[in-house]
Amino acid sequence: MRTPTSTRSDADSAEARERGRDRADADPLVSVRDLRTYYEDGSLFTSTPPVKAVDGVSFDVHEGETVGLVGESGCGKTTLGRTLLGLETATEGTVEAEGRDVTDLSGSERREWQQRVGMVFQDPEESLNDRMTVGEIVREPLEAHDWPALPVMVTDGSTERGADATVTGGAVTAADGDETPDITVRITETDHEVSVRDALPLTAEELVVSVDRNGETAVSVTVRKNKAEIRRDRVRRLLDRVGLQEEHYYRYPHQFSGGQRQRVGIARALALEPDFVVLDEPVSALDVSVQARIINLLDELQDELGLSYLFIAHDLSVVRHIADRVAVMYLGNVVELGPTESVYADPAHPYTLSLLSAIPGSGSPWDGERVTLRGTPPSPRDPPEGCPFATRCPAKIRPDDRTLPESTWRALDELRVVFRTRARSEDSALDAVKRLAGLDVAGADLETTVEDLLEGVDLDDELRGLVDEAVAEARAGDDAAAAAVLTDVVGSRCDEEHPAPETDDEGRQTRCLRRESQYAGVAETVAARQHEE
Amino acid sequence: MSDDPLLSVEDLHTVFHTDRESVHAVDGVSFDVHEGETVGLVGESGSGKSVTARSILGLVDEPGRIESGAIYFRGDDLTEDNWDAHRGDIAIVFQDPGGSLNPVYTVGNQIREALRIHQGLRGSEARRRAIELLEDVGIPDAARRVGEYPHQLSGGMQQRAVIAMALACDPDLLVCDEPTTALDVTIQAGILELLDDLQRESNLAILLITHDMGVIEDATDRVNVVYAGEVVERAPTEALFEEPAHPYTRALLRSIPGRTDPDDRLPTIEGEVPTPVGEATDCRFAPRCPEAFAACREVPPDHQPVGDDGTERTAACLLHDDEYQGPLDTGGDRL
Repeated sequence: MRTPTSTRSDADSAEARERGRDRADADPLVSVRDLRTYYEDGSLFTSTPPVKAVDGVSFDVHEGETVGLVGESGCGKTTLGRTLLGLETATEGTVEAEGRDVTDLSGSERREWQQRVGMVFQDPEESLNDRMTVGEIVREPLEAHDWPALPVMVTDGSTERGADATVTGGAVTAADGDETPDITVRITETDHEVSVRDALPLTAEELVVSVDRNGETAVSVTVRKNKAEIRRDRVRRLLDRVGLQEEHYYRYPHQFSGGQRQRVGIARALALEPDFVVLDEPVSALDVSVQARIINLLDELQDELGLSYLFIAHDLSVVRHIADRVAVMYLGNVVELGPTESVYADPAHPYTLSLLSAIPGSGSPWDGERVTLRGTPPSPRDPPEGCPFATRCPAKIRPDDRTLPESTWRALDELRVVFRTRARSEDSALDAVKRLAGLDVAGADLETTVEDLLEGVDLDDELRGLVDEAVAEARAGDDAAAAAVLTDVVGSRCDEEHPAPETDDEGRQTRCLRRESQYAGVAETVAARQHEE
Repeated sequence: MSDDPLLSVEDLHTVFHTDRESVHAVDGVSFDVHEGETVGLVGESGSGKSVTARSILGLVDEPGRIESGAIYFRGDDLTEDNWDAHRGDIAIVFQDPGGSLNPVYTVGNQIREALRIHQGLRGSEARRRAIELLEDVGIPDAARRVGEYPHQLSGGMQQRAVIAMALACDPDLLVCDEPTTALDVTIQAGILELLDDLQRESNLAILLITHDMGVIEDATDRVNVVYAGEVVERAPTEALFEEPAHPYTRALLRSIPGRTDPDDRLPTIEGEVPTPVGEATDCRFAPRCPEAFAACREVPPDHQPVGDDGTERTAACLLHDDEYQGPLDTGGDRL
């Protein structure tokens, strides 16, 4: 899907936007299905479970659209981006582009795919080689892929596609299949016309084309500009396009400001004319005034070149500005996905709501009280069995067989999290010995913590008994069993079922049991619980 | 709030001398912090906000030097080598919690160390107080965590532990230099809430340094906007966001995404923040200012009162200077 012209008029970009509206019906450019990327430890002697960085993700990216990917550090968003590019190996699932699965490509096909996708990294300081000039940095991918391939198509006016002809010439190749030709030779009755794709820094005058019509048509093409020159001119055009000057070509990255370095990173990502670009926190390291200029540049480039973006960021305001649709990731899962404005206006997943409410200042679209998440995300080595967000969810479904005041639920929940955290932390050698000797492992600190958490909380005899039972298990060194006892009290469907993605009419996909009609909505529940506290 | 400020920075100049040039990183900065209030210093990289923080703590390294001005703490000028007298009264929390914690000592050890030095607590008493501090900063299961090493804590928990360490010396003023920049947004919210709670409980004064206007809006009572070593606008936080008076503040607020219609281009500020080399001879923002006029390139602007807030609200801009009123008409697009 190379764009035949390097610049587009406003009418064209309006058309592009129009197409954007219809694109949901069109085939997606990239289609991700149940993608999983696990990191194994690879040691023979230990059997630690793999890190489930991406754990069953599905979404599409359409032509010309920006999908924002948000989530907190460690949620797997960078791994997801890298897996799409083939920089990480997918454990399971598919990434389909043009009808083939790009997670499963051979060497040459993988190179071809990597030519079609670009990547911009967060920290231009670290992602640019400081010993190469800016010109060399942007030229590097061109050389690695021996760009340009200069495919030549021969037409005879009667057919849309290529006519039967052989193509010879040192620098060129014959265009095959639906490949976009760099050079087109149109043969007429008496003569031939030569045209060159606009994006190439090459003119028809720099080509010598001769046509032999004896027997099978044979076309010979000689390029009078060598590839090194073509590449150099391409780099100059790219630098100009991203707002850098001619004289920057021979400078080194350290001579640039952060914003300029990121422009270099963008120029490099665009060198091979990709149609899909993964941008991993491209503006996070930049000051706000510089950030605004880079965002505008990315917007312009998208309109001009018809690019599709996967925009990975933790800054929700940036994503709101740039993304058409947004995917919210938590612990390797996409928990909510939908048109940006509707997700921001009315978050359907409790995690999305928590994130939006945490945006500081008037940038937050959430006008209620801020939601404070307790604890930290579980380890991706050992994700919860049910909903991945259940351990921190402010709208977690409560068991229906018990009615307790909000403060009691919270205290018991927190106590359970303490046991879970302890169960997951490494045992010290001393603890292990104590356990073997049947001694008290937990020590006095357990008492303090339990007293602290349950201070001022009314427990009936049954609950008191259960808490004592849990504490006894913990004292014997079995924190997991202690957590299990409390799960019997506070646990619910959320701890057992991993909700399947559900899609509504608007195209919004949510993974939360509260979508079921028998439950109160997320925002309503959160507000009610905040109020009661 | 008492009338005498706890901290009063007056016309502070911190200069870095190199062979080639003298960089006036802090170039005539003045502001006050009263007991129980949070004052913000906001600006982009290179504005001098971190050097200001380090100057207050007496942590400016060679080749930097406090050249002139005064930093009064409870009336004593710290720059006259009074830091030791007030060691422990002022504590600082840096951006990167990992860098503030020693990886080979447990969190408890490090807090107990601070308690021993500043409050003379030892043994079980120190341990008990350390656990209390960790609880105060919202670390769950503090009794166990006190025996853990920094790497066993998440980034947010590490920053809480750093704040606990800072509180161990029972400071009157807490200087927070980008305390939440390295943290995720939900964790950031928790830390800001914590600072607010601590302040309400102990009347702590907080100087909050950040580049994030959202954090300023949420967490501060008054704010100073710094640009190229100078405070260009000071105002009560709410007033600043309602009606920014300095063209730089206006431009900065406009360029934040999320406040502009997503279909529109983000308004930008052209050019780069200049390095303040030598004394100011003009308005340092003038080359980038959409409202600049000829005089802006000739006269360094003084702070002028803005609006009805009296001395509470000033901007260093000729647009607010009666002497230069005329050019207001040619001022270009004004908000």
